[in-house]
This record gives sequence, structure tokens and C-alpha cells, in this order.
Amino acid sequence: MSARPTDIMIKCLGSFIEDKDYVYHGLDSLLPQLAMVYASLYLKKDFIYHSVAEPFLTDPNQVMVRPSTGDPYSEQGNIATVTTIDAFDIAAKGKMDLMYFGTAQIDEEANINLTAIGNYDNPKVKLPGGAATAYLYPIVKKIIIWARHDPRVLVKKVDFATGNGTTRINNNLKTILCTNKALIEFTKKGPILKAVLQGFNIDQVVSNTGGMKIIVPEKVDTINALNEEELKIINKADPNGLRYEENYG
Amino acid sequence: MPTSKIMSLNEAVDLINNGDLITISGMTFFRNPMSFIAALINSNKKDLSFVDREPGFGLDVLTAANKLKMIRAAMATFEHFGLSPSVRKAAERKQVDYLEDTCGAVIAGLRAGAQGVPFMPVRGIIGSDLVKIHEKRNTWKIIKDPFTNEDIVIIKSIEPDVAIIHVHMSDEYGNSVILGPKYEDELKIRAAKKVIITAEKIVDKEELKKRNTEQLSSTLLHVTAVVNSKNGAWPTAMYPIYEADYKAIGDYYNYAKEGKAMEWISNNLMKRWY
Repeated sequence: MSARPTDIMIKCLGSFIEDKDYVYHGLDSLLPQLAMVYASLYLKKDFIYHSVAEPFLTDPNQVMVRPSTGDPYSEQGNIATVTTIDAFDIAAKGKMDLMYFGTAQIDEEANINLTAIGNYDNPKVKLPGGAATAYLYPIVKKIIIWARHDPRVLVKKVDFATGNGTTRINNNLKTILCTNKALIEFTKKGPILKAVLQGFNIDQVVSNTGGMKIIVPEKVDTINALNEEELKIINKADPNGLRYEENYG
Repeated sequence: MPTSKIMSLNEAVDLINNGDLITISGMTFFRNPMSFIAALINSNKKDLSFVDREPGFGLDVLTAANKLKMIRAAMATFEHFGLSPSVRKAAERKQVDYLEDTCGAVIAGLRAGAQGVPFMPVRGIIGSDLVKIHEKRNTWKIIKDPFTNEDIVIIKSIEPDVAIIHVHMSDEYGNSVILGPKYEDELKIRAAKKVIITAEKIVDKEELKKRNTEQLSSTLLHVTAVVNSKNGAWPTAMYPIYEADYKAIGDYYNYAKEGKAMEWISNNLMKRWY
């Protein structure tokens, strides 16, 4: 059993994958990679596994995480190589169902910032860049974001909107945030708390933001710690606990 | 018969002019043309601009060696290790002009370059603050689709002066094959004005004939130079021949974070090739 927030986040991220979904993860996406393994092997979801590493229809039983989620050696048992160019063309035709994005900042309208803290032309911190964010954010059906639950991250207004959340929300595209404390869904009314991770209470979630006002409905679920079988599946793909080095607890 | 294009790394480096826009093969820690990058660092070439979708090791090393005046990329990352150390430092200190792009736009720009057309429309993007940045730089524009009158982003053609692409095998004329992940490399080959192929193995016509149901990644029509370079991607991976050397990449990352990137480069990358 594991009640570590990192592991519960993986469970949270994986829970949005449905049968027949075309699911894609990018670079620096260790938690999403493990969430895809979890969705396949524990939740028994029958989906199309693809990633920036470019192996197509990877066998989730043969995923073994490495310091890069673009490493083709980490996603074996695939049938062929399908390029990211192809994946993004499929997305442009409205056929990518789910994509994961990390972020350094996210605001009440689900705008996300992976570009710079401070001013673009004079950054306090130059972030790695949004990769496919600007391109895919308006067009993929479900976007699942993972981030640290921290006042510097959950803000009133992002310093730079690499991905425009307002368009997503207005177009009723599912936009979800899994933090290491909570599960939040973005709606036209604002961010709504859907669940807390086991070990955290509502107050710890809503008070730990940098101005983002999270709406608390009458019913808030709890995402439970992982049972032995769930943990075993994740450990098999990450036997050395590389995921814990991402510092989500 | 065509002319052989085989040359040394140093001769190939001489095809680059100061101020050129270059692009390299691969992604973060995969199939970067590292032997060529070592030769470029060893040369007196300077003031280069760099474009790529998701570069990592090769870009950081070039930045640390002060070869670049401008970087255009959708993401520059060392993934699990952290932010691309030398790129971050250079961008924050304004030692390099950094233009953030997005994957679909880089691909569209290279597509336009490959097809010899001035621009390429692309979905998504509208609403991102990146649009304002690129409109100022005259690299993207929002126009009205002339058929539907809807807004759409167009990306100005990206035509690198030189693309340096590390491949699994090539003949002496530049007919080459990339195995496994290809990223945008085949577009880069078609978009660039000059193409330098570095190859794990130089093969003859008979070897290529055995594989003639496969598509060539480059042909002699695209390529300017061919360099024989076994293990030329180290420490990045060459799937399925060799894996990324994460120990070396991690060591470099630690050196670079402490401002000692060039020490690591001299003692490791340069020693391997010179």
C-alpha cells in the first residue's frame, strides 16, 4: 500500500483514460507515463498508447521508466514507429482524446504557463517552454494537467499564457488539474474541487493557493491510497522509484 | 555517376558560415549529431542561430560553448535532470536571443520550407500569448481563411541554412536511412539549404538494395556532405544500436549548473573526437 501523494497523483491522472481513447504523453512526463501504465494494467482500459518517444501501440507491460520519457528504450513491445508529426496531425483533425501537460503556473481560467516567470522579455526564471501546449491546448478533447499544489503554482493570473484555458472552457473541453493534494476541474464557473488526496483536507487545498479561488461543492470525494496491486503495477514500471525524485511527496 | 560526398568532420564544419541558421537531428537525449557538434565547438564558427522542436543535450552544449546568438525552440529541457542548464542561464542573462515556439508551429514552418512555399497554416495556437511574441518577430500571423473567413495562424517558412542529421546508414552520396524514431528529421532534410549527414555506417549500393522496400530518409538530391561517424550520437542514444548515456548526461548537467560546462565538454566530448 502507498499513501504517497506521488502515487495517488498517478492514480488520479490515469483515471481519466477511457476505452478507445487515443492518449499521448510528451517529454518530461514521468507521472503521465506511469498513469498510462496504471490505466491499462490496473483499470484494464483498452486505449491507444502513443508518445513523443514515437513507438506506437506500446505494450504497457514492457514500459520501464528512464530519466527521459522520450526514450524509445523505455516503451518496448510496440508494433512500429509513428512520428510525433503524425500524432499532431491526428490531433489537428480532432482525433486526439487525451494529452497530459505539466505546468509551472495555472490560473482560475485554466491558462497555463510553461514559458517564463516574470516578463517574457526579462524573465526571472526561464522555464523550459510549452512544447506542444500552445498548439494542442485548444484542440485536444481532454487535457489533464499535473502540478505541485503550491501558492506559486495555483495563481489568480498566470504571468504568461502559454496555453489558453478560456478557449477550452468556453468550448466545453474537459480540463482537469491533478495536484499533490487535490483533483480540480475547470468550468465556466471557475475551478471546482472534485476530490482531495487521502491525507489532505479541504482547508489545506483551498488555503494553499496564490490567489486561485477554488469552489468547494457540497460533495468532495477522496482519492484513496494505492492498494498492493496498484502499487505493484507502478513499481514494476518504476522499480527504482524515479517518480519520487520529481518531488511531489 | 554522382560524385562522392564523403568528407571529414572539419571539412563538413567548413560548410557552415558565421551567422547561419542551423538545425540538428533528434530530440533531447536522442540521435543528436554530437561528433559534428564537437567539431563545430572546435572551430571558429560563431553567431549561429538554432531552430528545433524539442532539443536538449546538443543545444545546451552549443550554448555553453558560446556558438549561438539566437535559439528558437518549442521546449529546451533536460527532463528529469531539470531545466536545460546553459540555455536557461544564457536566456536569463540575455546572452542569447531566445524565441519560444510551439511544436505544431515548428513542424508547419519546416513543412513550408520543405515544400518551397512561403508559409503554412496550422490549427490551434490562437489565444496563446506566444502569438503576440511571434507577430512582433514576423514569424507567425493570424489571417482570415480565404474560404471560410475564420481566423487561422500561419507560420512563415523555416529554411535552415544547414541541417546536420545523424543517421544509421548512408552511402557516399547521401542516400540514407534512419531507423526507429524520426522526429522532424526528414522535414529538416527537405527544408534546409545544405544538409550534412553524419552516419553510424557508410554502406554500398548493394546494402541499400537489400532494404529497397524502405523509404530513404535523405537522397543524394538533398545532401551536401556525408561524414562517417560511428558512435557519433554519444552521449545521446542511437536507437536501436546504443542507449543514452545518462551517467554522462547527468555529469554534464551537474558541471553546467556549476558554470563548468566547458570543463566537462573539453574533458569528455572533445577528448572523444580530438
